[in-house]
Amino acid sequence: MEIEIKPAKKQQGVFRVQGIPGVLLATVNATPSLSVYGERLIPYKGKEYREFSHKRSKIASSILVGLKIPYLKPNAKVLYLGASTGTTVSHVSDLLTKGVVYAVEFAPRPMRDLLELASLRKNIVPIHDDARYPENYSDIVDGVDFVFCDVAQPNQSELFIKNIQTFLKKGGGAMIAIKSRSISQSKTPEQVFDEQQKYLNKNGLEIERSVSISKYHKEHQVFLGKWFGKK
Amino acid sequence: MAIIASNAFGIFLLSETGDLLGQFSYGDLNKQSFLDAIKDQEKIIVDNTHVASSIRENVKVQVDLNNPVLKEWRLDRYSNLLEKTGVTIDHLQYIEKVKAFAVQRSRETVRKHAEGRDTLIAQAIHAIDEIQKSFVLLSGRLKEIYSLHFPELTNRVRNPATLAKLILMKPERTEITLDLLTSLGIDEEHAKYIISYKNESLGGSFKKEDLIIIQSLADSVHNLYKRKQELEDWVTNTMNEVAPNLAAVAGTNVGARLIAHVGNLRDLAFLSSGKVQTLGAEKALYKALRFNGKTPKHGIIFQIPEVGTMPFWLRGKMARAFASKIVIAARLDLYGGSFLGDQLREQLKEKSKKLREQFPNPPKPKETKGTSKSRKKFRKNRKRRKK
Ligand SMILES: C[S@@+](CC[C@H](N)C(=O)[O-])C[C@H]1O[C@@H](n2cnc3c(N)ncnc32)[C@H](O)[C@@H]1O
Repeated sequence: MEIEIKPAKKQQGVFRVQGIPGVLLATVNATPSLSVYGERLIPYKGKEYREFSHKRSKIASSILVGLKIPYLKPNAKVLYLGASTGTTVSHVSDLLTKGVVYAVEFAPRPMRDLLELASLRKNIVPIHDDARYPENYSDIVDGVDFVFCDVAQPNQSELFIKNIQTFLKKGGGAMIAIKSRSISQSKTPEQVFDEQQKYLNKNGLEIERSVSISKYHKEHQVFLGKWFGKK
Repeated sequence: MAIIASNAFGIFLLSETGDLLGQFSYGDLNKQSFLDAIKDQEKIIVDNTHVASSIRENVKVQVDLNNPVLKEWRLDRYSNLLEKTGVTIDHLQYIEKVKAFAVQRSRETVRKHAEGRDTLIAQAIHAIDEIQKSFVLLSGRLKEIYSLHFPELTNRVRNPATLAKLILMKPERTEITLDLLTSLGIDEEHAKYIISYKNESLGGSFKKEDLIIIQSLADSVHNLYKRKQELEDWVTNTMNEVAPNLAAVAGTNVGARLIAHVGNLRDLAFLSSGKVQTLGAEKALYKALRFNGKTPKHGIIFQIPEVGTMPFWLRGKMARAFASKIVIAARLDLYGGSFLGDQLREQLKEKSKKLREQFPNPPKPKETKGTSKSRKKFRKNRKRRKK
């Protein structure tokens, strides 16, 4: 089959790929000829695209199941909690052609890779710190348009809200990926997701959409909301 | 009251209402000019822990993320810098400066972490486990192969490291002597048995070049064994240096395994003792929580002889006692506190004695509770005790 790459209908900066088995989404590579995590590089009509792996990235799989994230636009400032080695952060960096992503990660091991990635990409600001304590990096991060949280910790909704309260501009958006099992081993996923959504709403993040990405990431649900300021 | 906004561009002293009172660099925080500027303030509000901890003067410093002035500053930092301070740069330069500031701090903290020898211990433990796995696989293969040549020997020499060393030294069975066997620690009776078969073994005779290839496999097995021993010795020494209290309480091996399990000493020191008790038994714990069963009483610390050899009805109690002392020991080590390890250990010995005196007999079985498996196990143990 002929390779074809078209802009994704719903998400600015993300592209649909046809004709390569297993590859569904891509972004335009901001660092041509460099692959970050073994993803495929695809030259097409004078540009180089990078496979945006829905298996590796929860943002990619959310987009794939139909989520639209309007806050992720080229000039946005983004706060990314749980950046790890920067698999997804690298694509966020591709999308933010005029923006910045502050990438927070507290494990030193992945942080080394993230620092390296940041040295190649101007718009990644690496922060080696614990996302539970935004007061540790409040002198680096400023007002952001979008907060994404993927720290896979039981208390993650709490730190998510704390970061939102500290850094998210009014009217901005926030998104969190929640794995039911890392919150509770004894409750059903439905119970867990329901409780989490209530908690977020109660704290002023109005959940606009919630999608399951369990097809690609086991027992994961993604919540996207809008921030109207502290209630 | 005054407010301090801090960022990549410096320290900005603000009034309660947000007017700029003074502008300083991080290096100024200990200088007289800065100290004079804040000396009349009863309280200083900041939104950042780094400045908070750098201000050593005798004024009250409070970290408050919700202070409206600071919040306004933070959310719109670039405009505030342009409008209220002397900073004049375009937005791109602003981001560059912020990034340089962040990179420098991250590099420092990553480096600090790399200096922590506790994480090196964790890595060594993982390496030991991986070597052990390879050793088991490869020595099994070696035994299998060599049994084709001298099965009477492979049946008697149970220790795979000894077997490897022997094959490395004398692969040809007819050249093996009684002295060689006993010098490798094989007991006399086995050695004699082996020697009695060396000329009439059931195994086939091998050509020289076949024996050489077996010998080189033995060399690999032997090397794995030596590497593992070296690492273990290193862990023992390093544990005594880095975490002497923990080593005294849990032993160097178990102590190192606890560190390895959570990744570093700091994280271990901040665990609850309940959590420490079940480290390494997470699978069983989750299973129990999901099926509302009995939670496991001990994980890695079960390997401490004093816990493992306790009668089964006291093991949980002993594990709990150990876990609580382990946490104390880890905290002492983390903060470079004094050496109280032997004392803690002594208290545990005492506890063990008391427990044995207090509960010499197992509790009565509760026939209605527990799984059939645990009931069976209990009956088995009861029989054994009557003997
Ligand atoms: C599931 S991974 C993130 C994967 C990443 N979002 C991606 O798609 O490439 C979770 C990461 O969060 C980090 N993490 C966990 N707790 C954290 C905390 N309190 N602060 C910062 N990072 C944390 C972990 O070290 C881990 O690297």
